[in-house]
Amino acid sequence: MHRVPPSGGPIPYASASSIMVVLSFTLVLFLASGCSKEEINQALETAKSKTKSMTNSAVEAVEDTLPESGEVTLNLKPNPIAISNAELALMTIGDGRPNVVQITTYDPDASARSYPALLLHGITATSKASSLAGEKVPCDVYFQENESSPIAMTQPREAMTVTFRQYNPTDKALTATLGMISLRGSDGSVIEIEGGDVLAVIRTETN
Amino acid sequence: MFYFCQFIMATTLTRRIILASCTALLFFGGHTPSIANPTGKDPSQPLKTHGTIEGAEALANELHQTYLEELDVVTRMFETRNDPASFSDRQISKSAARLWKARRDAKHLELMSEPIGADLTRKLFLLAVQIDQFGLSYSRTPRGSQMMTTLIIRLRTDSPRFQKFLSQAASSLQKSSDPEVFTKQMEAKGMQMRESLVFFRPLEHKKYLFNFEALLTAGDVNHKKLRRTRYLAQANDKIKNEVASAAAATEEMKRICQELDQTGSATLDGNVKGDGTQAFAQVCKLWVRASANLTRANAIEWMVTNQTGNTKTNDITRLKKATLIAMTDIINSLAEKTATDQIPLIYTNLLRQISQVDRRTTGRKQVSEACTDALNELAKKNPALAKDIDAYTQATAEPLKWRNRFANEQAGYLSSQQASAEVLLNSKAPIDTSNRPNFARRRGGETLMVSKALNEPADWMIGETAKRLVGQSIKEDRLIRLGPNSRTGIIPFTNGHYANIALNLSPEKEIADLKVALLIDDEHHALSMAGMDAISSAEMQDYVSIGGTIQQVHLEALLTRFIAFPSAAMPLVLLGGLPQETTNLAPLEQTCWRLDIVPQWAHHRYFTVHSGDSKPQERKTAQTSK
Repeated sequence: MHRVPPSGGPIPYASASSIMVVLSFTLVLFLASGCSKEEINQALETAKSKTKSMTNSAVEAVEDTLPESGEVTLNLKPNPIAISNAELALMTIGDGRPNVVQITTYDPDASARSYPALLLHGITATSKASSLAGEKVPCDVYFQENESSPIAMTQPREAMTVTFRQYNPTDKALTATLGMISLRGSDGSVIEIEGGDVLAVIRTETN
Repeated sequence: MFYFCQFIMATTLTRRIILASCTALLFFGGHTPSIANPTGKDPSQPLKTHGTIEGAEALANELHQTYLEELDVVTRMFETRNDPASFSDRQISKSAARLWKARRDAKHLELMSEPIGADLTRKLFLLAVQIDQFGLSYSRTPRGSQMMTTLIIRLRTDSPRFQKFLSQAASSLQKSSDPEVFTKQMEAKGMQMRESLVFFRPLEHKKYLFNFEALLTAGDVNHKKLRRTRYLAQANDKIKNEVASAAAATEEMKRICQELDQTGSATLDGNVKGDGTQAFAQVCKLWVRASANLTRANAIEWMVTNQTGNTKTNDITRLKKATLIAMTDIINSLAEKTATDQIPLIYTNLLRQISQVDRRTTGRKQVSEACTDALNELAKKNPALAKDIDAYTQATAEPLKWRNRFANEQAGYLSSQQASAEVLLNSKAPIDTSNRPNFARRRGGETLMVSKALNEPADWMIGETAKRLVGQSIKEDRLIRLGPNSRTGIIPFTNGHYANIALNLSPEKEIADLKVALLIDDEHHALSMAGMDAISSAEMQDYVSIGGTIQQVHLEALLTRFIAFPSAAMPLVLLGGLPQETTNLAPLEQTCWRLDIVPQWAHHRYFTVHSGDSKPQERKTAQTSK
């Protein structure tokens, strides 16, 4: 059972690299202090055991935190950014109009918005979030890097394609890849997004 | 005609500007007696009369004609002022007499509370000063000296007859005879005397006039009192009529509500039966009509009280209250009588009407707030609709928030190079007086861009102001379109001015984009007030602000603007309010500037639009990167 996104991502990589650092650091410490071969072997075993336990706790930590927050990697030109929160809402109106898929990296109900802030808003015929996997949804993009930076959004007649990849029923999470899009800034600038990845936790599903 | 056709077909922009101007003229010029106010293009047009008092328009037209003719005389004589021997004594006599009478008539127009009266008083005085100068200069020429000798003999010879006339006049005054007849006879004699006395120094006039001026003044006091009473009665009659019409509108609202409640339909304009949504529209119409009645009544009160404090504020508040009650009553009736499956259609129809009228009120959300409870009750009658409204509100809330912030920031960026109307109109700039008549040119200093007071001849004011303002870039707030088919938007009266905006913008693609975000198509309307306000304001082209270029400037008198005030011009004054004075000047002296603006961009609550944008195309997505 996959508890982490199948394609891997910044959080698993980050956890693995920190484990490697701990392992190397333990070995260096023992070698530097002039220990015997047995002592070194014992230390290695201890380190392995510690590493295993850290790996487990890291996975557990990922399991604990990932479904809580989700994540977006936005390949902004020239510097990609990671946003450590992503929630998906699938909203059905019920009067025959299309359903709404909404991905937010901030809490829409909070009085103050967290930055960078991203909203993806699109319509779909799909009425269940789990069925979105495999769907391509054209979405309006709204983005602001920080409170004082210009706001960027899709131009009229344009939309970013969000391709939903996989649904994780345990964590109620969806992965998706983002298409390329050129946004207009509120100051007249052009903001290029060269794709990205989303791991979004399904928060709301109204039917 | 052929050239005119060629001209109007020249460019789309030109066509639109002309169309907008014609629409505006139709709306604002339809009920007013005179043809037009002075503009930058045609400064010589007279100020419009409001015509509250009978005969004012005819008198104003006659005096304006006299002014133009005498202006021509004075201008020509001023050219040869260094050669007074070339003057015609007959012309000087004739002009002096005409100007003396015209100045008295201008004062009469002032008594009728016509701003053009005050304007003509200023203009005619300036001409009279010049004619007096020419008279004295001529009297000092050899030919003039000879003429003076003849004149003095004649005045002395006529003196006994003149004194007899004065004695009869004094007796007539004591007997309180008809002041009209007295004034007419005195004026005829006054003009005759003026023909001669224009060649004498002012100190010498008394010698030949005896007690003529004292008698004339006494007669004027009587006549003025009589006229004032008569004019006040005419003005008060008009106020009464306007207030009665407003009260009738309130009663009509009550009747519509009762009939709707009892029968499920109501008799509306033209004796046609209408349903609840049509009754709601009728109440909105009645509110506009009655507000125009009270705006006119309020402005006529300005002329009665000679100050621009608003006396009809309470009536306006009562009207608003009655309207809001009628609106909620209609929604309650609809909630009671509408079949469940018809409620969604009725609900969205009402939302659209409410959002429209909300943007035309002073408080902006007064109508929607007053109707919220009744609307909620209506929605509850169809539980599925109530649920859909909640879901819709949630599904569209975030795009609306982002679009609103984006549009605000973009508008801030777009307007950074443009002065707001308030800043521009209150700024100072050098004045160019070269278009004034030759006798009135002076070195120009810096003056306020627009004057709040009619303190110089209107044609000079408009010419000099237009020279400085036309072509300037300006930002105005709160544009309200005159009607769904109108090509003109209005910036309501504020800070002593209002503006006509030629709606040359094409927001089709922005509207199409907004519809996608708001999940709106031909079969599905916005279900939230915010969503409906967004789309109805976009389709109506009611904007938060606009930036553009001033194309033309018009000078109007404040008093005339709001007495000769057609109901169709109601967007000039927001519903629930009255025009606010900007100075403590007398109503007769206050200006109301009109700017005609061609917009370069507009700020809608949820987007911005630039002139020259193309038509909408299919919504397309970029290729995915993976």
